[in-house]
Amino acid sequence: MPRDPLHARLEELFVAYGAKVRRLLSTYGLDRHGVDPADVEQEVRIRLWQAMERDRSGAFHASYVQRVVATTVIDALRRAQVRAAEPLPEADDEAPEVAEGPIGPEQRAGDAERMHGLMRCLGEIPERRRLPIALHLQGFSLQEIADLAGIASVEAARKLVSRGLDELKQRLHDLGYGHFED
Amino acid sequence: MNDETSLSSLYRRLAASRAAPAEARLGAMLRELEADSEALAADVARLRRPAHAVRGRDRRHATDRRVAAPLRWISGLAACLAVTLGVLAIQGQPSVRWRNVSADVRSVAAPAHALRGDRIFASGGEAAAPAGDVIFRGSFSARGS
Repeated sequence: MPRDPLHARLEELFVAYGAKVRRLLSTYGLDRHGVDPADVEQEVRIRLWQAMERDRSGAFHASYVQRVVATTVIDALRRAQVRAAEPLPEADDEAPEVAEGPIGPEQRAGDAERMHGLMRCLGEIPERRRLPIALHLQGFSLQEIADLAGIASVEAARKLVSRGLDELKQRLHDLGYGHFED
Repeated sequence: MNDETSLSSLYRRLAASRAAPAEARLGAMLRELEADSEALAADVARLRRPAHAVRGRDRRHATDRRVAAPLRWISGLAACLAVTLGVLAIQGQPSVRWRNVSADVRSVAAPAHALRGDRIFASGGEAAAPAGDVIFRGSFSARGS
């Protein structure tokens, strides 16, 4: 049976978007965390298509599209952790390679140590707070955090971020990394 | 704020490093994907818009037809009722409205000539007494004699 042109055009859009997601997953090294970019690409396309079919009259916002990608990747990361099919990068063993910049060797060494501590402390924070904190520290707004992490409201996102940051700072302080500001 | 004690600054440097945690990589990836997500959302909305417009208009018309017929009947009946009540109100209107009479107006005894033809007061007079009443006449005159 021939498909209608609208259906075909939408499918083209989802395929192109999925391909972009796949490229970025490899670029940002998420495949090193046990995520299979091909699986995520396919899952993103299926979820987007299902969402559109389910709610034909609903608006299809960019934030919703982003959320679909975020939740698909998070699900893939969880599956990878449970499966442990591939060895994950060992945070405790591998010192972060600091990006080259206008800083001296001493500061770079101190930075590496602090990053090491930050990674360790973040790993100890409950998962439901970890992603909101990570997004906040990367400059996402509370609304974006709520959308991407699937949090019910901006207020709930604010509480998760606030408590998570307090916990993170306390852990860093307890480990002797000093006092941090937001 | 000192760059060394800024958590955001430290985290961004960590996210740029090879050993970045998955959350940091995901956040950075989503940032780069923003423009593509907006483009996809706009393309999908543009493709779906004509179908929605037609469907939405059909639905509104169907709703109008379903609701309009009873509303026409109800409004017609209400108009008839209002007209009928108006006519009845005008016809049955009393000549004196007691609520319009001032409370300090004193009541005045009606003059005697006004009561002349009144049968209630007239019944007390001689002319009104029944001529053939034997009960009263007979019994009292017999006891007194």
